[in-house]
Amino acid sequence: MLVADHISHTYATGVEALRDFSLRVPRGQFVTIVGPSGCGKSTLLRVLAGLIRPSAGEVWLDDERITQPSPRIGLMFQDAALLPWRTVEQNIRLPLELGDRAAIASRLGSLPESARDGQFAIDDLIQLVGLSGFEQAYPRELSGGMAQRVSLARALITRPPVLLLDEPFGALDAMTRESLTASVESILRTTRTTAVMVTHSITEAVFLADQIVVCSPRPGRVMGTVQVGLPRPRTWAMESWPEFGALVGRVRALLAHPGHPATS
Amino acid sequence: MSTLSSSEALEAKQRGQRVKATPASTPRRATAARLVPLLGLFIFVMVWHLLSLRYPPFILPGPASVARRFAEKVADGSLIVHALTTLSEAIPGLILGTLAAFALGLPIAKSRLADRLLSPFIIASQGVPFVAVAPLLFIWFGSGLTTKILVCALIVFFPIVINVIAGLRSVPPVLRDLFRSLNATPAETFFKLELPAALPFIFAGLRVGGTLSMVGAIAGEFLSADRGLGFMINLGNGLYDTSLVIAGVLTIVMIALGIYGTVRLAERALRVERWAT
Repeated sequence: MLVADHISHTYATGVEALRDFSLRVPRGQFVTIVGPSGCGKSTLLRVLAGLIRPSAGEVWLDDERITQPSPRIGLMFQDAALLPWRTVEQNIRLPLELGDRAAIASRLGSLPESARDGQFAIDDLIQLVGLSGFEQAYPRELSGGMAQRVSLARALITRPPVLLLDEPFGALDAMTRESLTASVESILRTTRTTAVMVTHSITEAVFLADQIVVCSPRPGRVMGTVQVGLPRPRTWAMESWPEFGALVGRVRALLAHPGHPATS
Repeated sequence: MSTLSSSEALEAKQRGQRVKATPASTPRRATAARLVPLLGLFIFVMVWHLLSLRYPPFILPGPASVARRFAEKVADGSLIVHALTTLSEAIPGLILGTLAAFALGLPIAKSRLADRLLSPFIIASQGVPFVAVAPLLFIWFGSGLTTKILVCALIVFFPIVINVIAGLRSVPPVLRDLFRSLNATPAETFFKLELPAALPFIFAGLRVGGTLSMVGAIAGEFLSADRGLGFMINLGNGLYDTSLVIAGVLTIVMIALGIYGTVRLAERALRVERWAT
């Protein structure tokens, strides 16, 4: 269970990004956070990742309090953030070369025999994200969608129980976006990863989520949550289902008519 | 299990072809492109020859007479000695200047305090006319090899330090976040992120600094020397042996091009072209 407990954050510049934001993500659930631009979504994700210490409130992953980046939490950025001098495979391997390798190794060691061998894990992962044949390519030879697939594989190489995604498809064209969204849904279901994703796209939020959190303009607060009961695996054909449309409508309604009176 | 969508794969294929297609579109055009610098050289020599016909040899000797003087100097072994002397000043000077550029550039790029403390000196150092200050070095360190290496190092220092700082600062913030999120140690961040990211800049600095190192060595020799290409040019000047002066200058240019080429080769060996996005 990933818990954000009454998080408030004000930057040194005086900008209040988050106010009393609480979030509970049960293990294996996919939570999407939607809200207008500048509602502190990215700040929230950075707090969850341990990159920012919030002004108030705590983040807990099971019984570990998160105050700094943890090898149990993977991160995907809006930008693929690949090292241009490394091949696809070397980029994916990067997390295994940095930081607390002992902690990573011990967790990987608890996996079944078949997954323990690093090389096997990488080949497996490259196939899983659909990059077979591109192992030796350099980032500049990749399209934006493929670069994000590398970024996803890199985030998953240490088998983190939690993955945080900061609008990872924001910069992609609509078709690539759909195919990547479907890939992420199926991959995270296969790996049983707990996920929190920030997005601008309501359909994307509905497609991926077990739970949608709608947040207010700055300072970001929770306006309401929507439970998504659509069956998994999800497919884009579901977009035409009446339930899908109803969910999109409820999120829109929350965004347009906030449940709480606006303070600003 | 997911696979690449066909549109993505197609896009990647097109990108791959575009990347490969850019350097030389057709073999014939590539050969032509390689001949252009030779054509420029040919025109230069022709214009030089035609001009030299209008002046006496002690003002402007022609290419043939310079080539003859050059060959004589190579044959009697003295040109090699002079060139090696100058190189023995330029190369250690380049290395020393590069080391100093790293020693000062790293703290400036990494710490605000060091930046505030040292940057004014570095900017100011660019305003110092080293050729004019060099006599001071002769007073302090004598007229030997040390002084000439120092003159070289001082001239080489600035372009390299500026590029080291710019390179280390060029790391995109998102990559810094990535390394932080992976709990990278400062040493890991330096060797696996900052230094590789700075390499294209560092090589740009080395290309400029490498050619400048010859300028530094010659400047040192002009002030006091009994050997070296600078000394040889000075000698030719005194004797109105203008062919020798020009032969010396052309030798310096060739060596500078050689240093430039060596830096390029190192850059290619490290395959820095991968950095380009």
